[in-house]
Amino acid sequence: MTVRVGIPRALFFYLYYPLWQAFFEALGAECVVSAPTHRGILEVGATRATGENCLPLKLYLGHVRALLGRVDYLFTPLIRTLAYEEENCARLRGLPDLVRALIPEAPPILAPEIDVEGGTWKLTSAVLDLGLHFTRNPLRIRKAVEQAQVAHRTYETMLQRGIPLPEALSLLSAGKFGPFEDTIEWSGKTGGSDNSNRATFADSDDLEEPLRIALVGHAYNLYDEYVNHRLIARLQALGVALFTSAAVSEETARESIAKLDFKHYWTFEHELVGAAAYYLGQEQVDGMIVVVSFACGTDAVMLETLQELSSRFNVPLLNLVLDEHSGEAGLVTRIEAFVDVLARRKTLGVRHTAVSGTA
Amino acid sequence: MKVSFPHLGMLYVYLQPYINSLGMEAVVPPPTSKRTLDIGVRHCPELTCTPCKIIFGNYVEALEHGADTLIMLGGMGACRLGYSVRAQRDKLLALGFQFQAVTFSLLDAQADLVRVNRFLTGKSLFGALDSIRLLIDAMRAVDSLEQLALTVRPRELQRGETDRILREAWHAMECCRTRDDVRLFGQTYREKLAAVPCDPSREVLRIALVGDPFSILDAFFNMDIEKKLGRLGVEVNRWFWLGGSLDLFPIKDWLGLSRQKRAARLARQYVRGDIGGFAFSTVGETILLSQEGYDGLIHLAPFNCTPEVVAENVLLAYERHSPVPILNLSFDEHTSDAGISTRVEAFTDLLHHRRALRAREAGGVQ
Repeated sequence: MTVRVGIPRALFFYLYYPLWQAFFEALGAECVVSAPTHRGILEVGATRATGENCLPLKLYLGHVRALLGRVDYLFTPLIRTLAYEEENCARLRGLPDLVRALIPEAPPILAPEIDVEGGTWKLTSAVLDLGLHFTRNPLRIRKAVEQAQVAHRTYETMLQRGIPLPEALSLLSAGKFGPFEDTIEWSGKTGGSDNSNRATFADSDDLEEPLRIALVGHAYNLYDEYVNHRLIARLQALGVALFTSAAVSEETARESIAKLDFKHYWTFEHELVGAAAYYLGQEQVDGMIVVVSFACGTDAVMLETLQELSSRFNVPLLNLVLDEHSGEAGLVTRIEAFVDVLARRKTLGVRHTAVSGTA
Repeated sequence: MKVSFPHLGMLYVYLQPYINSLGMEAVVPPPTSKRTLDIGVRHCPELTCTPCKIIFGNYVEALEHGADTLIMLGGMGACRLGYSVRAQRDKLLALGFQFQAVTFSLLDAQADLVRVNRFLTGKSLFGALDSIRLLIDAMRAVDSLEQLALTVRPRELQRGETDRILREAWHAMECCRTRDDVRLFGQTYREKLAAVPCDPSREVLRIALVGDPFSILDAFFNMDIEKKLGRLGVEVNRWFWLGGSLDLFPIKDWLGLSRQKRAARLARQYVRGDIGGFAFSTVGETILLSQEGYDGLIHLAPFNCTPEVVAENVLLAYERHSPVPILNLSFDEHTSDAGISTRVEAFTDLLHHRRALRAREAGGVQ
């Protein structure tokens, strides 16, 4: 019987699922992913954790709970550090411990400790330990790691070529692209060029080209349609060209932020700020929407950096805070008003420069 | 050089003689007040924790009083203070203050003391050994006075006597110049505290405070919880003492015999490793203290403190079979004094009741 590994559809899932899937499948295991977030998942998660926890963690717990009974192992990596001189949020550093404490009925947890600062040997032994749950052959584990790396590179290439993240995920997990095929041409609709279902918006219809909006936020905020009330689809329906932070490669993000002489403290936030810097500097976006979750400690300070960045480039910024109570109507009103403002600015010819006083 | 630092419990009491002995002027920021907090709230990110805001307010007020060098709290560690210290420095510079700064991390107190000392004096640890020994002596003296006060306060006959002596002591400390002064100071005030008229028959509860050090040490932030408890007839103990974290030759620690190491071993049952901030120690100390005969524990944390919220949640698993009740209190700029008083009073009532119940059960068995 194949071993079933449960993967909650939350947090890192959006970043690393193709990698994990390739790894586990190469070792003969089967990946079971929880269903997309729905009301029940959030409710279960919110009752398990104390009130001060952040929304992403509550969702994670809800997804873990949804996997119970269907899996032999639960995969909850402990991602301590991903780069030198950088940190990860305390909640991510305690993730497996939190799951064990708050969901005691969970199946055995596979929690490899990813600690780049700890050195290559620590990393290798963590992955080896993980693989030994499935096979006794170290060479097979090594092969699985290689396949996982290829899958991850393919996934990143797909994202950078403009394939929306949900599509990229479903294509890869369905195995439509062989893991070793690196040349992908995407002919479907991308976020930017999809204007087929444009709503009639007086201001934005007058423009020759669509508004360019950077959408910055953690992938688990941008692509969890239940939590963000289908934000991406709504923005597309308003006829804007979207540039999501998920489509910027790590290298580009790090380069862009280094140019601006900014340094952030946490790895994921550093990359998000870098993505924002890239879109503001190179892509000449008209506006920026930042999606953060309530009670997220790192988002709270990342927002500050982004606000500074947006005023430096003289680009308006809309901040959306997601929580378990946020109403749909409030969100829709705000994004519509924001798009109106941007369209007006554009027709009035407000320059996109770093010079102050033009607005 | 006019050196200043944020408030952290009694930090100012012993940093003053140390800085003076280096031949510099110590600028003590005004006691944390509503104004301090308002400054912080105005300039810090909205969703960051209140200690960051209070500390920022301290910096501004210290600089307004003419300080030109700041010892800033923060450093590498997954708590947001590590990030904030950079942002705070930039913000202060943007506000037009001119100063030089050195960071001090409580998590790495020993190494950072050497670094701060080098920054201030340009000398190595041994070059300024006298000043450092003065600092450590002063810390120990202050800690022992505070410790004594915590046991005397619930038993005092005339309410407020202990606090009066403590206030007098902190004033007297300003005049200490040498280690002999400090020794004399400690002795005098320990005797004075011991001589406070007490009611030995009073039934006193014992509660230990765990959680984030800032919340434990800062009386403005935690609504003076130690005094509140003391007046309710509770003997308080803290897991964190500033002096205790500064042992220059921690031999017991190296041998793995220290309390810290014991707590770490216990914590490992619940947490795989360092989470960030003091959360790992909090978990270990909570388990350790709950087995040391206290009537109850109170876990203090700033609202939305990332490491402490993790600790609190991990401890939910322990609380299911913990021998004593644990009360979680979180504080932010909107916390009201009455709210904390009510909860603390209810908790002590519960503990009194629980103790009486236990006593009756024990009596029944005999």
